[in-house]
Amino acid sequence: MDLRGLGNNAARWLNGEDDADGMIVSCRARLARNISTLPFAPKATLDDQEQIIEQVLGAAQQGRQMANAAFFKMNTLQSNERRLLVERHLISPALAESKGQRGLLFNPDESLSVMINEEDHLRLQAILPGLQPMQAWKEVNALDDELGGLLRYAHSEQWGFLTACPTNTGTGLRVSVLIHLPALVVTEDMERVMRGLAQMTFTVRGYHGEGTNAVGNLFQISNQSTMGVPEGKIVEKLVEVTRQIMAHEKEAQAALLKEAPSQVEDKVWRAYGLLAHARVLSSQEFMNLLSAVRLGRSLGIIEGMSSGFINQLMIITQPSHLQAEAGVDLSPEERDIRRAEVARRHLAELGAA
Amino acid sequence: MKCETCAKGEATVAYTHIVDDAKKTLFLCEGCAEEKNIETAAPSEDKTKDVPVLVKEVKEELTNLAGAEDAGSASCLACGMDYDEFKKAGRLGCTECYGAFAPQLEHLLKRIHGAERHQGKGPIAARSESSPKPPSIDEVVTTDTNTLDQLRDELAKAVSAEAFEEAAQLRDRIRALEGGH
Repeated sequence: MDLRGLGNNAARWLNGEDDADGMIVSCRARLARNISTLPFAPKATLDDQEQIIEQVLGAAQQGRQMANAAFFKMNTLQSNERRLLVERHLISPALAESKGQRGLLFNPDESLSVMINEEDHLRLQAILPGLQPMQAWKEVNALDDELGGLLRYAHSEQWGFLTACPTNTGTGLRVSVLIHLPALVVTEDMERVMRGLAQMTFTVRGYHGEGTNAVGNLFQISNQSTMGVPEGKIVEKLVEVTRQIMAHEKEAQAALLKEAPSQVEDKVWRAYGLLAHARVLSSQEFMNLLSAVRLGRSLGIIEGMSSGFINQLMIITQPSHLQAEAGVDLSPEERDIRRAEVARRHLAELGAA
Repeated sequence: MKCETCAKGEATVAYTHIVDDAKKTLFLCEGCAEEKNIETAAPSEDKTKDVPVLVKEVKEELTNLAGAEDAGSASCLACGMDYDEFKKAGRLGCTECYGAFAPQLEHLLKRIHGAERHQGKGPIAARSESSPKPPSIDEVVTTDTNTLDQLRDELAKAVSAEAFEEAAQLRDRIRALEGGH
């Protein structure tokens, strides 16, 4: 597989299924695992790292889940290719920047992947569209069963799966949803929501960056603790917490619409107009406009546009995707021009407005 | 909406700040926001922001614990990590570290997760094809290294079974053998 073509691949997690009134972009479940007989990341030599890759690949080849998977060693990729994988949520920024023997295994629709030699020997991930974290957990669990039957995982009776960082010990499970909360941001209720979540041992982070100033009003909700609660219960709790936040967002949306219907509608259509006609779009401006359009779609102001369309547009306009499509290095200014071009072209193809 | 500072530019930045204990939001144009040095950064390409806050908390927690427990001298025989090193990095060096730092980790894990025991999935019993092949002639170089490997293996098992007394005995035997080299 050629990584340059990956930018146009239809990743399953972007397809807009189960989007819960347009609010949920995607969800994911990841498991941290280590091979008991080899040193963890801080103490692993290059030789150890190679052994780990070999063992994981060997196990993956014997199983079914990763039968058609692509494998890449990070040190054979250009930095832009690695960033492309970050933008596609296949690897972490840490893996993209680290040295040594590190690898990535992922299936053709990008829903299942394994990072090898990140903070833990294995980071198994299932990423799916919309609000279906239970399904994501089931899929990553099945892959884990397969690999765990062939690899000897570090595990203790009392503490469960042993990870490099004690914050992941136990289930090793981190499950999250990517949620769009424009109205809670406008009404400045995000802080309150975040405080409430912390009490329930769940945490909210901006999609990019931290705190309440999330770009594009996108937030990631995830479990904070990984030990003491069985996996299924952690996932159920995440869904419950997410539904509560969705209810708050809906209330805030209704209040905005009631208070200032014309202004809301105006904001949505102005955003649409800019995306459809602007010639230069910075990534922050683009994300904010796309957020307004996403809200417009949720509220039924914009019709004939799918969540999948919005999600796909969000990814292909990210810096490394623009660069991969252009095939040459672009300066930030050139990227802003190309971003506007891509947005214009896609909206024209959609033929709405 | 016009910028609240210059009343000319279009306000595109909402700047919320605290004035005399009260939250105040100013709507500014990009020019005025820039003058006030307000961050309007695009999606972060800044790697430091992706480091989970939790790691920082763990490190703080570790520092606090160090005072309460005389852990500075503890070290893991299998990978050589000592407790100070763990405190600095916030990461353990190998499976055996969990045994070597068990008393400290017990506190730490409880503080992080609010629980003392894992609940949920256990390891899958390794299938026969994954069990290690019998060592070839080349691998059996000396009896010593072979025993040492076996002992390390047993140590790993003892640690994961939390048989710490047995682990300590194994550790001493490993130490004795290593000393002989």
